[in-house]
Amino acid sequence: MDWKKLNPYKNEKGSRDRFYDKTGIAKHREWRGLEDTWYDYTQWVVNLGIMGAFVAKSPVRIARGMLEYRWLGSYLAALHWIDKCMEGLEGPALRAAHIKMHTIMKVSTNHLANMMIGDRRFGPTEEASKQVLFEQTMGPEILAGFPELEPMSMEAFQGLIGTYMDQNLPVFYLDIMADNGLPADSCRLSATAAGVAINDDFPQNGACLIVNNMPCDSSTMNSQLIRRRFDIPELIASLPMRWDDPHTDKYARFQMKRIISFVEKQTGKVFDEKAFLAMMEKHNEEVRREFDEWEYMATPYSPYGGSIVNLFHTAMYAFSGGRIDSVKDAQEKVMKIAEKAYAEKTNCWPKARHRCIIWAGPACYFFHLPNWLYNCWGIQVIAQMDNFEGVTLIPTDSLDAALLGVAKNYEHGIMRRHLTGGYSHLVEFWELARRFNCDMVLMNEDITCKGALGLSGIVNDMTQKYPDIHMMTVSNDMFDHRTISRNDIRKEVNRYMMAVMKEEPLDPTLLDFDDNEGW
Amino acid sequence: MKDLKHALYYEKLLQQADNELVEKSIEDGNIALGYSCYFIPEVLLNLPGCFSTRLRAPETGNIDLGTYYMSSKICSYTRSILERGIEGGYDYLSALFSAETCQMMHRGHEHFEILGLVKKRNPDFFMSMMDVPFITGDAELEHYSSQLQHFILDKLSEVYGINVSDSALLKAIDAHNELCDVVSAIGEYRKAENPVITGYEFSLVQLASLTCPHDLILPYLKETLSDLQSREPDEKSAFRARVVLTGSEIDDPQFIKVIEGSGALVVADRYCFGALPGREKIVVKDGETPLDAIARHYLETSQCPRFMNKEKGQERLDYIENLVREYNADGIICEQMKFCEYWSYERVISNVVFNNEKNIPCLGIEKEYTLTSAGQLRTRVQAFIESLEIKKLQRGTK
Repeated sequence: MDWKKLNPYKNEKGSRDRFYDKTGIAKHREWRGLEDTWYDYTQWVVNLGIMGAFVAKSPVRIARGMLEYRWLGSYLAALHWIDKCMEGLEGPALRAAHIKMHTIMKVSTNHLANMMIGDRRFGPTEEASKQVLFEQTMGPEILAGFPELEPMSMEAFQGLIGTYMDQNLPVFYLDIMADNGLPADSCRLSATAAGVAINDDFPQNGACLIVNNMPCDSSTMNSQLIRRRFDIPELIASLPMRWDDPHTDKYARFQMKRIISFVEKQTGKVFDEKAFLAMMEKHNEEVRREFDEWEYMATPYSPYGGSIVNLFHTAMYAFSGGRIDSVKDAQEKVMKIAEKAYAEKTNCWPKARHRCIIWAGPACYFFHLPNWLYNCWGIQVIAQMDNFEGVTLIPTDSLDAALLGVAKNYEHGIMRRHLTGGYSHLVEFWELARRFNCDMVLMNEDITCKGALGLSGIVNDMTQKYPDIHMMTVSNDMFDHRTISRNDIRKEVNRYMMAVMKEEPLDPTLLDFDDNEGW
Repeated sequence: MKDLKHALYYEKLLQQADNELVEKSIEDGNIALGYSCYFIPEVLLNLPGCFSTRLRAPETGNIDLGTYYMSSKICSYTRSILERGIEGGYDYLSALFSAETCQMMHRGHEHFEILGLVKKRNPDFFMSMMDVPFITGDAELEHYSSQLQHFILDKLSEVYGINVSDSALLKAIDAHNELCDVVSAIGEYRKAENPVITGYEFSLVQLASLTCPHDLILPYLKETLSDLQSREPDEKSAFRARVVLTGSEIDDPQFIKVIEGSGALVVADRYCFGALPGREKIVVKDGETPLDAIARHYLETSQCPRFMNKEKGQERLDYIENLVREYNADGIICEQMKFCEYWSYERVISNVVFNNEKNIPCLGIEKEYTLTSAGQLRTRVQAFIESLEIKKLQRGTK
């Protein structure tokens, strides 16, 4: 049966007409009115400049990286991905998103360039010994007492960020793990990183490596494969899972002290307490600015939202921890836009019919889902689970207190805070939805995330207690688009919006289309 | 071989979580304490006035309730335990001790608190969840010991008035060691060329020792041990190969029966609920508190893949390799409960290391909690045995 013949919207015109069938390739740029289209184009050019600056930093090493590492090729889709994250945005929301995206681009390309510059595969380099590798989802705060050293995040680039840009990046690595007998029900994020390790696709950086148990069971296990690929001294940071329990604090703080001693021993550098505490103040300023943003996000006049609000926070957690000035600059610039929009009562999301929080592990290959939700159904995504993770204010009145604060920030880190330490953390979204005046929660059902799936029934039962909030459950396979495709996800949302909410789409051309061949 | 003494009785006991020995001990005034994971030291739950019972869900059928609460993508052991809990099958418990060592199990146990399970029968019932380190070392020992104090001993003392003094702990250690000696002695018979005990029979012994009150099961175990001393093996072994069984949770002796029915004698049990490790004596060193000795013992003996440090990772592989040598096994069967993250990776590592690096044949299998695919299991084990036999023949011709 040809579904298109049955589709009541088949003759409608809309924003999907801009694309070639089955791909994400657009025939022309999106029209948002003269001013916004021009603004969007100029910002696209700025991103191009950031990419150029990235290559210029070390053209030979980056070119060699492109040839050596399969995952690095996916970053060629960066500009295309940025366009996807901007789809449908206009006015203050468009400006806020672009400003934050510039910072994300600067921070990540800088990190990536330094990774290539410090890669021993491409010949000896002094830079390598100035870098300390952090595996998994550990932020850079604990290295703040070593101003000469550079924190280098592993895994995020080889899997997570690349998958945002190119849904086919993880497929190759997942298949490697399948060939080695890893079941497909194991977390896809961890399996991708393990596949990168098996294929020997991790750069060879760093004076030493901090392995850790962040955030969950599968990442604990994939670490045991990944670290075999690094021929540098390693330390395992074992952070308590029961982080709510004050009895675990002493051990958590000890882990931080252990990292400091290890780094001192391996690099010959001395921990600078003053520099550390000063950086933690900056970390706190970043977090406080986020709290300020939350106040605006709760109002109808907020420019924050969509895909970028979540990504900016994740980038800040993973790479900044107070050390990157452009994070502060972006936060302040966007805050001015937010203040103005609020003062003028500007509706920055004019198509919005619902305010929504997205919760639990997302489909990383459908990073721009919030844009689609907004453009197709008028669902404005206010925040996602990651926004509420890694936002710990670190006490700076003593070193001991600060170290515990850093440990807490890790324990509350990305994918850790809500999935470990007790069931009450996972169900915080109900109260957050109310706090941010949302009428809808999109619950991601990552089919491999045991920490969230283990409370499925409890989450469902709680819908009775929160009749004012619609909960839409949507399945995904986190990194593997072959199991649950982007269009499968769209169809699940469509079904809910039509059958339960009894609504008509804003743009019928976005309802059901095949973009499987796209990045 | 003639029937093993008390084998039928052990089978009967294992058909219910609250079997007749459990009920008798409760009638005698003791309280039943449930747990699932090796990181909850059994010995601490066997202080005077209480007894341990490692949670199983025998005769599990439909697990729709467990699946509703935890989804179908969670290990079926966890779902079965939750199902049984909701059905009231653990209403005899006075407390459930757990640890956030595995995401699925700890979520399963959290439901006891969220849904108020057992509370109706016993308002004092509580679920206590502790933290366990991922590596070993002095700081880890201190942390683990402190968690045991807070989340087991203090709770037992506060809620049920259990004596948790050092002298009570020492007494519990002595009793625990006595039981371990008997179970280990029974297990030693598996090393013989033509053993007088099968893997299935030993699993009955080990499971009975884990699930029944120690003081009540011990006399039976002693009689079994005594019986083994005079038990004559079959003239010709019915088995074509000897295997070490490793992996995650196995509490169904029928699983081992299927393997042995296919021709592979299970000579060593290195899995959750197995005796290797699990039945080693606890030694209190000079100057060590009993609690620290217990904490050290469990951190040292645990072979859980959750341990991240390289030494422990290597130790796991060496441990299994030693079992192969010690028990004269022809190969390894590495089992993984479906959806278990820890053992899915460990199975990959075991397959690669044993087959490719150590030249010890290793079969990796995935299983559900209930024995629903016995036919497939039989086929795979038979094929594995054939490959072992071919290797033996090839070695012989060389």
